Amino acid sequence: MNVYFSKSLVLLMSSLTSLVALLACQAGEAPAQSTPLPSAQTSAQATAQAEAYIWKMPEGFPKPKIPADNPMTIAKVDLGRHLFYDKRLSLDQSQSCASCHLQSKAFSDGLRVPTGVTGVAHPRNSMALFNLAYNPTLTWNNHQLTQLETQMLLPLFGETPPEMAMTGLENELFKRLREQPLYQQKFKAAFPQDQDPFTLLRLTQALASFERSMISANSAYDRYVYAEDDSAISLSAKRGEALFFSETTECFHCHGGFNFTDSSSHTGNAFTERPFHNTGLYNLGGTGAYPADNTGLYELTHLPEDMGRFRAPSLRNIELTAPYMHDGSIATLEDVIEHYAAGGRTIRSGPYAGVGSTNPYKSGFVKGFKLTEQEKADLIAFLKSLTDHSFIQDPALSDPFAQSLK
Amino acid sequence: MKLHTTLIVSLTSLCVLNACAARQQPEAETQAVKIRFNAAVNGAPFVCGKTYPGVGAKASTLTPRDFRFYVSHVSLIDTQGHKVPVRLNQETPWQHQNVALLDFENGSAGCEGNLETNDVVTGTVPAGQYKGLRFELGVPFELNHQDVNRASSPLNLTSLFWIWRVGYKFARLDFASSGQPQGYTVHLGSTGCGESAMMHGGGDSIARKAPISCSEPNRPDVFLKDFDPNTHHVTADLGVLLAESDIDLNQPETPAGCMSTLDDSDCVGIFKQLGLPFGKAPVGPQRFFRQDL
Ligand code: HEC
Ligand code: HEC
Repeated sequence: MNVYFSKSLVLLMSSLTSLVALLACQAGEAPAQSTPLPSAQTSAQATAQAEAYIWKMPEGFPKPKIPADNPMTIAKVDLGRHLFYDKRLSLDQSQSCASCHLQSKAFSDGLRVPTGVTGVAHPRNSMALFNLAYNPTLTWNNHQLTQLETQMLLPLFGETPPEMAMTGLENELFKRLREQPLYQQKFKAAFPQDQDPFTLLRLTQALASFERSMISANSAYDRYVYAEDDSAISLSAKRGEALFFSETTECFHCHGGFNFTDSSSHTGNAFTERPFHNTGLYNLGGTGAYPADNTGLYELTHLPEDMGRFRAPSLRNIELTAPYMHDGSIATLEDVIEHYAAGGRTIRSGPYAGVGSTNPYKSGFVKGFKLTEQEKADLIAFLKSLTDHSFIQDPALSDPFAQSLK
Repeated sequence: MKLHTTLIVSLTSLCVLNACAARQQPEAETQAVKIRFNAAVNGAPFVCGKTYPGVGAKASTLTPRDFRFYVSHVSLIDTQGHKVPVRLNQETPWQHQNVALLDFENGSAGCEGNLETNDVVTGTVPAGQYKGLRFELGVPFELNHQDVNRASSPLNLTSLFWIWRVGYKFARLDFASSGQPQGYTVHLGSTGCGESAMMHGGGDSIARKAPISCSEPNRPDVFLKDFDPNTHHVTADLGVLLAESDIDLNQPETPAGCMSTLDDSDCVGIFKQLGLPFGKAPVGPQRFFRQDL
């Protein structure tokens, strides 16, 4: 009886446990396909412990938004600065980022459009680089590129057009860098927690940190506004300021705010606008079309109303960044004013002939105006008060390789 | 009583073991599948360094440079006509989640890229009989707009990044032709992707958003009705892809070849052979892929 009882108990128990086991196994077996996290090892906390970065900007100037996974550190900025000026980052080692982004020109290049290492011209003008951390979108017309860490993959690895032309050569790139004792030391210093910091993630994070350190906030106009130094700008510039912020010229609608562009985001604003505008530069055959290789936002969205819409660039340092517009097609600031005064540019002959002022996609704020010669000169004096001479001479942003030769 | 307890314990643990073994043995319920791919130019095997006459509408000569493409959502069709997803092996660098890279260029003899090649998709399906194959050409939407700086193999190759389009090149089929000796490129990818941006691992919330959708996803749906993985392979034929295109000419002010842009007339014939809509052109069946013995 005792034995019998025990036996049945065993049976009962065993069937129960196998049931439980079965259930457990099923649970364990259930789709092991849960999305694996990206393989790269981030350790924002570890990086944050590294030496904190101190921003160089006046009191009252908004603080930029920094990606949570790439906090600023002195070591990353230092590594990024070396990479920015290093020609090893291009196919034939003939170009660095600085080849198209020269400090003396607020990191633009003075050319209508640049040519990459394979001899192919870029359809667009090299942009000036400063206050990049505030730009909600990057490049002249792409609305989807929002992070410096990704944008730089275009000059590095892009094919249309090739610029530094390292497409498919990432292993070669890291081989070149690894061979340099300088980079062995600087990659380690910037990413001490990494077994092997020679990765795309770390390279782009360092370069982006350097780019974010390019703050330009010390123009005469900044001293006038932030330091309340009334003598910092001329009377002519003050008259120009009034014109710039007037309903006559409407400039401020698209170039307003602390960074002189309506396209900016910082820690003080929760919502980011990404405006793009057609300013009536072209009107091919009266259809509203822009040249086929530069159709603006339309290129990405295919929406008719996006034809010819480009980002309004910051007008800081504008004196240094000629020629102007997305395709470098306006040579001087005087001609830019004429373009806006006419409410759009008229091209009389050739493949791009057309009356820009009647472009159907043109922004309503580009409606044309009449200014006296003195007023035009005032407007330009104001624009020139936005030049930051200390920025283009800042040793922290200069070529570290040139310095080490000295 | 003590003895009994021991018995109970040992018996139950045995059962546990048995039960689990039965449930976890994949061989009992699943079978391995291997889908073999070939690359060809009008039926001739694709080889870097070879030249192929008679390609395209104007019978041009083609010299290969690249032949790589991603496939995803690979399924076999069972005898009842049901689509059964192939669970891709995750141990190989050529496959990640439900996407695989096929690579027929070896980085030599005029081909770009790298030495390694891959002509198979491997995985498992529930044991059974199958008679058809279905897959998409491309990287699935969920992976297409990820932060490439954090992507794992095979989605970490810079030559297949399409940064300007905030995604990947689904196919990279590059070559030189008699009339375009500098190169003619066929890059397939999603276009017209809406407001918002590429995803970023740890970026702020604004940067984290992926596109809501793309007006031209451009992922051809490939259905090979009588495909038997044991006897057939999939042939991707560049000659067929280009059959209606004049590869000696390029529309002015557009990149050489077809970069999936709606304004680029060089795409018309190529999209037709892929079975993809292009502007107002009528959509037919895809012809780029076929099954061969
Ligand atoms: C061959 C010249 C060239 C080289 C080299 C080059 N750039 Fe540029 N850069 C440009 C052009 C042209 C643009 C505008 C691109 C566009 O609108 O499509 C640009 C735009 C940018 C922008 C966008 C700025 C903004 O306000 O949106 C950044 C950031 C930038 N470049 C950083 C870099 C970095 C970092 C490197 C090196 C890895 C680099 N560039 C190398 C020519 C170049
Ligand atoms: C509707 C918005 C809008 C208004 C109003 C406007 N701009 Fe612009 N501005 C833009 C856009 C967009 C661009 C780039 C256009 C392009 O490249 O096609 C631009 C470009 C410029 C540039 C060249 C920038 C560079 O880096 O090349 C200057 C200078 C400029 N604007 C000055 C002005 C002045 C001065 C006014 C007032 C008279 C003004 N803008 C009014 C939107 C505007």
